[in-house]
Amino acid sequence: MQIARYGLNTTAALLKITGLNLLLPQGEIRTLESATDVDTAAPALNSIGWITYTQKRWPVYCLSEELALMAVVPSERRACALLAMGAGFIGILCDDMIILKDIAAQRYELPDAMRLADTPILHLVAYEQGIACVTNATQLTAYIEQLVLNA
Amino acid sequence: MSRMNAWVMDFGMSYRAAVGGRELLHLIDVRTTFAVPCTPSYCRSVVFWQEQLLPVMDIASLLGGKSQEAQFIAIVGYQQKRGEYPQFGALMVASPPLHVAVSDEQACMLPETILGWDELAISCFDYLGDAVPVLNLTRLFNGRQTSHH
Repeated sequence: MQIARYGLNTTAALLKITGLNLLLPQGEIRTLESATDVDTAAPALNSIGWITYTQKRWPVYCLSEELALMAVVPSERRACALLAMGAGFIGILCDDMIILKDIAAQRYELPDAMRLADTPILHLVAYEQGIACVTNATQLTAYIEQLVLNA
Repeated sequence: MSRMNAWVMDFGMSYRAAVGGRELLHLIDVRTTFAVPCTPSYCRSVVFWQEQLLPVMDIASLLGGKSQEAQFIAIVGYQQKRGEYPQFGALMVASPPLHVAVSDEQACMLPETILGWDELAISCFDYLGDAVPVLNLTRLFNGRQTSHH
């Protein structure tokens, strides 16, 4: 099941969402803003507000640690990570973001018995005393897009 | 008359099944599991064991019961084909497994009251008046299951 080391000599961004550690390539996080900068007036469908970047407004979504959409923002979501989605961006609220340089964690495939067709999780890595779930902006934004359409 | 050894496991909510005597490898603490999002309701967490990351299967949930509060994690090993390197998985169990000796005369039909055993069991035996399915671990851990919720 374990097959390789995760992105040796690469830098990753670890988004903490309650008990979930979500790992993305650091270069795919365009900016990190304070959650207090999110404009909650007239949010887009199933989003919780808007964040301004490059003089435009982009929708912001709040996810649970099960990666389900949340309508009510928990108080611990203090940051907003902006990810590229196609020609635009979306914001994802998180509790905190940590930059991990030269990460050299053992990589594990997601077991067959756990793999759902629409999962954004690419694989798992050992992190501190637990695990982190590895995804990327393409997988995660496509997953959120489906959540929004099907909610 | 051939006899074999088996471990009878209690998955909670009166769901019981057995694995072969050599398939149960280890019992570990349930607190060492880690949740993974976007996974089936019956297999939501993983556990580290001997430098591998194993899926933890909740049989009670898979068969239509509630997700259980497991007391132990049973590490099991199985081979898809004889001679192949073994594969491993984990099962949530409610109490320590019971070691039993089983003979051919104990073979019986699968319990009819619970849907789903026909997909998960390779055989079944009578133990003190109860039908105890024998898990097909290869099928259980290698592919998508039909949840009976």
